Amino acid sequence: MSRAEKRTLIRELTRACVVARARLAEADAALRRGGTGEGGGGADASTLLEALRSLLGDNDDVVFRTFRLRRGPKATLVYIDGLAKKEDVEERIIQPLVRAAPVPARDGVSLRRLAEEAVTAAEVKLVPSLDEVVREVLGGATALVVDGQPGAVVIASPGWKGREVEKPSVEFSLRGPREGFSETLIWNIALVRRRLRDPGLRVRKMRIGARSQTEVALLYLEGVANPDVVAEAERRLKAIRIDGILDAGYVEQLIEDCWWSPFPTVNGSERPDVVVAGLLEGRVAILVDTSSFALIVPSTFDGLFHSPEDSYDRWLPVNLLRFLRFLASGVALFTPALYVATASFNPGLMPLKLALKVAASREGVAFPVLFEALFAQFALELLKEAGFRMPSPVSQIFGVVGGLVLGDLGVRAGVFSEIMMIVIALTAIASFSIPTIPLGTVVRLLGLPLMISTAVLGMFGLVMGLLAILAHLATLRSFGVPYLVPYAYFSAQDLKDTVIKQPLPAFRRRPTFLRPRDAVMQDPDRQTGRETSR
Amino acid sequence: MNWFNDRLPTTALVLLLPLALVEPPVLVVAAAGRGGVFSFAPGFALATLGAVAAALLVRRHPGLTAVEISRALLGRGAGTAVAAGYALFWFLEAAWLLRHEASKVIDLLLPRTPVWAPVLYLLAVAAYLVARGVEPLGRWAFVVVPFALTVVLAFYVAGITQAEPARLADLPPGGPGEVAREAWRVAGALEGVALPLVLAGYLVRPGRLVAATLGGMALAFLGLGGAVVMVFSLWGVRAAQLYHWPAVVAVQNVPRPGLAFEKLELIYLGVVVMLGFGRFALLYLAAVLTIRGLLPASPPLGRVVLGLAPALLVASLLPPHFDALERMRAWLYPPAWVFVYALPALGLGLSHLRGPAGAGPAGQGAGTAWGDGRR
Repeated sequence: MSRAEKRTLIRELTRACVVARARLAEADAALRRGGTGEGGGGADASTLLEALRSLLGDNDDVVFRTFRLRRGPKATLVYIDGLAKKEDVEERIIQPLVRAAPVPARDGVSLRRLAEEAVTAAEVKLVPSLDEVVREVLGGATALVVDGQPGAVVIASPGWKGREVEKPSVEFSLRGPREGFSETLIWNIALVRRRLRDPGLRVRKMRIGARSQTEVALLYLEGVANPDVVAEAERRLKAIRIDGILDAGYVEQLIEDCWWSPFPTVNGSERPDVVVAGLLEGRVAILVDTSSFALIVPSTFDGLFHSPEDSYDRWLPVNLLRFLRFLASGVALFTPALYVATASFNPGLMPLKLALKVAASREGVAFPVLFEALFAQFALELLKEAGFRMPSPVSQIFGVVGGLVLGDLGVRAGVFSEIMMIVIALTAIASFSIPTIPLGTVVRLLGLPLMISTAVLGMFGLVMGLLAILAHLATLRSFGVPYLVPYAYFSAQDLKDTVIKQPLPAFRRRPTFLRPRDAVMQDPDRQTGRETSR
Repeated sequence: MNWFNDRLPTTALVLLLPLALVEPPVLVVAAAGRGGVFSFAPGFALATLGAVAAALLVRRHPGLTAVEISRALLGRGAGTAVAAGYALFWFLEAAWLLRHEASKVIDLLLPRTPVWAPVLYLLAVAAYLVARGVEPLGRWAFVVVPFALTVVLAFYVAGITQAEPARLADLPPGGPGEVAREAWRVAGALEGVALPLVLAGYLVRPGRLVAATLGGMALAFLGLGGAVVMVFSLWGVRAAQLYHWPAVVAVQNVPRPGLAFEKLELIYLGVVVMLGFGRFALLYLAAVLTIRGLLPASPPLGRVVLGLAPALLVASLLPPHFDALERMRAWLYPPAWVFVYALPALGLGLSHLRGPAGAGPAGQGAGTAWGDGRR
């Protein structure tokens, strides 16, 4: 296509857009003039239909079904094949309307009466504006337009196929519920409501994404969550200006406090029980249609180490495992850097026998320690990434064989030492034992600059790297709450669920750093049965 | 929405004061001279009095920064001049400490590395932290100080158990006069006790200020006193003066029976670097806050931090060798006595003479940011 042709095409398209927009505005204005009231002019319905046809009619999956009401005017149903359920359209809309008793001529046909008396669907509403009719139809509803009546009746007829409620695919737990969120917002909200039958549970829905019009729901417990946090979450959601939201990850990135930080300041979960636990503490949850992950805010650094089953198991084994997780994050972060520091600067830090073994194992290695560690880390990430992309039956074999072959040949070829292989294996195992996947990745990621810092300045570089990470953590916030709480100046009450978790009866109050409206979480009188016995 | 923004609970002083005082113990060991613990004890007591004087002064002017207190007591002109003096004092102290910590790293860990490398690293991380304000530094201290103090105390206790306590009883030949002079020098080495002045405008619940200051001084006494007692009881006062880094060398030489690792002092060194960095960051913050208070439009903290960083870099690299650094330290003692002890005491006296003091502007200090308004 020549440049002139392109220019002509663009001009024509622009003109068509302008015309369409003008027609849409005209139709909308006409509809608004007519209102939703009974007995508006017939031209309004035809204008609406015409506008709908011009906006949606060019699609093969959009159905315009015209029929005549019993001894009444013509009516047209507009729905999208696949999004609306055809059986529902047939049984709950067309049949009742066609068989409905004729309306006395003196009363005229009214959309309100049709909606109230004839349509048998569960959710029906009168919609005056063209914008809203279009949005509802694109969302899976069916619009009913009747000749001579302004506006439309929008009837819920969802019929799209979605994934059923299944086991969580990422957040496994040995104990506790096995239900995970799916991609359908209403089911996800229902999963939360099923666990939290509190009338104070508020669900605020909004549409985000100028083109995707994705439904997003803000959930919180009224009387528990701090209104400032709720207002802030709502403000950030409403401030999003983007074409499309395809997953909760989009929302997360657009509302987080520090976009350049490697640490996630918004917690994500695919488990309804985790969301409910957050709501009960006074946090706010954000659910996004078409996403199986919920967002929970405010989030804290400590919370990233909590696993769902921590709440279901007895406190003593939980403490052992939680301590192990904290230790694992330290191992994943520091082991490669510590190896670089000890092998190149301070071998004396190791016991003599180990130092000699390290020196012997490095004898045939062709690269300096830093490059050896970087190669090994690179190989690990490569294996992990390739394993994710492969079909699951192949990926396990690939991981084992790839790891073994690469490790063995790498050592024989003098690329890595045996000790380096142990270090990298330890790093990988430790990072995967962190319950939050993003944190595991962050820990491995931060290991790289830490390694470089250590390679340049030895133990001093390692300590300064750690101090820099701590400094960054100290500056982070999540929805106004400092990220490092409750380790930094909060009440002893908040330290009950940190590295050490106290037994459940000790949790009488909600975390104070969330400033909940209702601070009491557990009433000891009720727990011992004294209240009921009185 | 930022809860707790730029506000410190007064109890934060309990951890910030030790951070400002525990490192480097070499200063106190050198200042204590031949008097040893006999000079250290009264010197530390004097420093505690200085800290309490600063706390009392701040308590009389809740919500006001050091510059504002100075102007309120001395008038605009004289107050500004005194505040400028404080800014210069904190700047020089920070520059000295930056170079001192870098020299320690070079001497003990990286003998072939140029000194500008650790200077630059320390400065960059500190600038990042200080630019975020008082509160993040407070949070950082809350995570680091308990861990660091526990580690250094464990080393000092291990050292003291292996030492000869009788060495502590060596009295200086100069008698009480010499002890008094050295105690005065010890107090001069503890310039961090003026910290309440710097943090004045950011503290809430000033009613607990004196208690928090005393708590902080008690913790600092444990950390610093442990180092001093270990060093003097291991070698005696005269031999201790011969070492550049007496606490580190003491930790290196103390046998730790039953431990497989031979080089545990590397862990100690790591912790010492943390504490040294923390002290430098506090002094840097002090300089930045005072300078910002003096500037007419009160620019964002980050700009002042960035503006001061090159000056700190140059000033810290100016002393060509370690002896020059020690001479610089000696020059800093007289201003320390003036700015850390004399002026706060004078201010407290003036404040009492002038009657009840006013509070700061609404929303500053006094518990408003923490929402409880308790004193």
